[in-house]
Amino acid sequence: MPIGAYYLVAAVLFATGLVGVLIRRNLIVLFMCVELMLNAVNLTLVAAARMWGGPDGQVFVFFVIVVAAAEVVVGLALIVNIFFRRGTLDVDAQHLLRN
Amino acid sequence: MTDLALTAPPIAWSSVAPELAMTVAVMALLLMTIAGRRRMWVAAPIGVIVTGMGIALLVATGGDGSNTSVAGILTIIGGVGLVSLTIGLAGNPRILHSSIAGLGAGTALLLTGWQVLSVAWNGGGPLLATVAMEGSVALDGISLFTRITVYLSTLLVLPIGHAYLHDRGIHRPEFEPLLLLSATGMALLGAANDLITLFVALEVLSIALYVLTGSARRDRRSQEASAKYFVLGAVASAILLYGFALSYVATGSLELPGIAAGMANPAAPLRLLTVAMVLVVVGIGFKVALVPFQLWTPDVYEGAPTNVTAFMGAATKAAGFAAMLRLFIVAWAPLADLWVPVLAVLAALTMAYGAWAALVQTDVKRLLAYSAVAHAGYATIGLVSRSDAGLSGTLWYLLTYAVSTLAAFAAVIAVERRNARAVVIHDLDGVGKTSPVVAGILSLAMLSLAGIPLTIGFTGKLTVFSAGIGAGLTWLVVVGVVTSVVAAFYYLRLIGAMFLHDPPAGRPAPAYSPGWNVGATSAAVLIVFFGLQPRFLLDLADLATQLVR
Repeated sequence: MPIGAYYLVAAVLFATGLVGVLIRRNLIVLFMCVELMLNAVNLTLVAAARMWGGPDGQVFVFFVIVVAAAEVVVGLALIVNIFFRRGTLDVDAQHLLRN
Repeated sequence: MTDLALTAPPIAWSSVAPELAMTVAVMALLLMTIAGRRRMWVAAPIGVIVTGMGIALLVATGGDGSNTSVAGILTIIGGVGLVSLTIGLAGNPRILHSSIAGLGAGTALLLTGWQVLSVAWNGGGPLLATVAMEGSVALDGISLFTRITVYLSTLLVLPIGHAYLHDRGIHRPEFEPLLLLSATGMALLGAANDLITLFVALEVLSIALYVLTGSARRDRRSQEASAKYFVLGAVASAILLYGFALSYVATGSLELPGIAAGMANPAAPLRLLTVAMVLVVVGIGFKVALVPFQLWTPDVYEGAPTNVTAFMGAATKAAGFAAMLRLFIVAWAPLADLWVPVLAVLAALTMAYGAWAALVQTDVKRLLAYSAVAHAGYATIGLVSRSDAGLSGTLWYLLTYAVSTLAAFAAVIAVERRNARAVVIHDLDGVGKTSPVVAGILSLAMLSLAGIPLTIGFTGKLTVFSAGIGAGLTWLVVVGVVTSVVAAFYYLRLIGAMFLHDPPAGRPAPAYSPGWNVGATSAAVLIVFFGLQPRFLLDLADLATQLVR
């Protein structure tokens, strides 16, 4: 399989995540879309590491995975707290901070 | 069985000595929190161990007065300080935690000074640029100056916010470790010389800041700000990361000088690199709040606890711009024709939008948020100048902005503590009569942010504007000057409210606390001192032009 196919799949994944972030309003779904984008990055990096024949792209992937895990912890904690305070996860329902 | 000593490369600990000091402080604070009432039995041994390490360093170098022995002495000071603080403040855990955090940041600042003098000093020439950790960490002008700005901000924000946190009932033991971790991430961001280090440092600072923003758990505004910051920050990180991945696809290197070499290759895929550049501009633009990626700034600045806002405004901006300088001036240098016009237009938009939007604000924190947006534009002028003067101008500008904005938020904190709600401009009416000190500090900060001569802000604006003119970007400098005049109007509006209006009856006077007095006075003194006498640090910024390439 040509390496370009991997890049293409990754680009489609990334675009899906980005569009999801822009149109969905639920915090958990937004969060899943971000994870999708990060995994698109991982796929790109692994494919590129294979193409260049070096280890650094794959090393980067491990760092991305670890950081994404840390982000999940903090993000879910925030989301749970917000749900307890307000009973909804709709981002449009938050409007205390406005011009 | 391979001999590990033969295969493992030596680790240049000295290149991240300040961050090590911060990490030790974070570990001590976390362990003390876990230990609860027995915190003395945790902190004192850590202090003894640190002292022992310092003595070992001294012995290893033979105490010959060489540069390493200075680091040993600083380590001993840190360790002894930790032990004596633990014993002296055993009865007051809140102040003990803040003091240990301050000790960590102070030691880090001293170690940065040691790094400047021992590693980078070149007898008055440009600071030497070296790499450590297999090329992952750079020790050069950007990293050293960013450290100074970040650690100075940390050191100032800790005492300023102490009583405020106490008043709001949000001073939990995790506050200081998160603040120090965030500062460590910022300092590393300035030193990162490959994309992995850069990304990890960026996330360390961001994740700690998401938590700090939401640290007022019962305040819905804080929660909303935190959620917004988190979602937009995570998306921005993902976009930035995809830009990094694409530049790796195009150039085959994750190290910034390697990326530059890959781009200079005529066979490099230009279209792919353009996409990567756009993604990086978007991602890093979010972090430093360039228009049109500034949407989160006012909301997050308003909702976060005010001392966190102060830290965010002062230090995050410096760190974000440090990463931006390194990314664009080192890695993206071969494609300067592509990114200079883009960033110049963004800078003009940022200055204009920040000035215009701040005019109509009534909430003081929102006003300062829009002013932060405008200042991101001014700092970008130095970056797009692509000259030594521009580089040192931006670094110096970020320091001036950090000090001024800390003083401004310190005044807001003093008013907010008595107010117990968000500060609007009318809350400042007559403050000049009821408490001249707060009014004086806020006025000084406003004059400095507006760039009035004899303040530190003036020297900052002067350096970036002259760098812009030197690089032939006269139109951008004209936009900068015009927006500065507009901005002066809303800065002076705050001063007018304080001194020209009468205080309404029954308005409580702003609150002072010993820590606030120390922090706010130091910030005000720095504004005036470096406004009159900028030479000392400005010379250092002027020397900070040598980069690892």
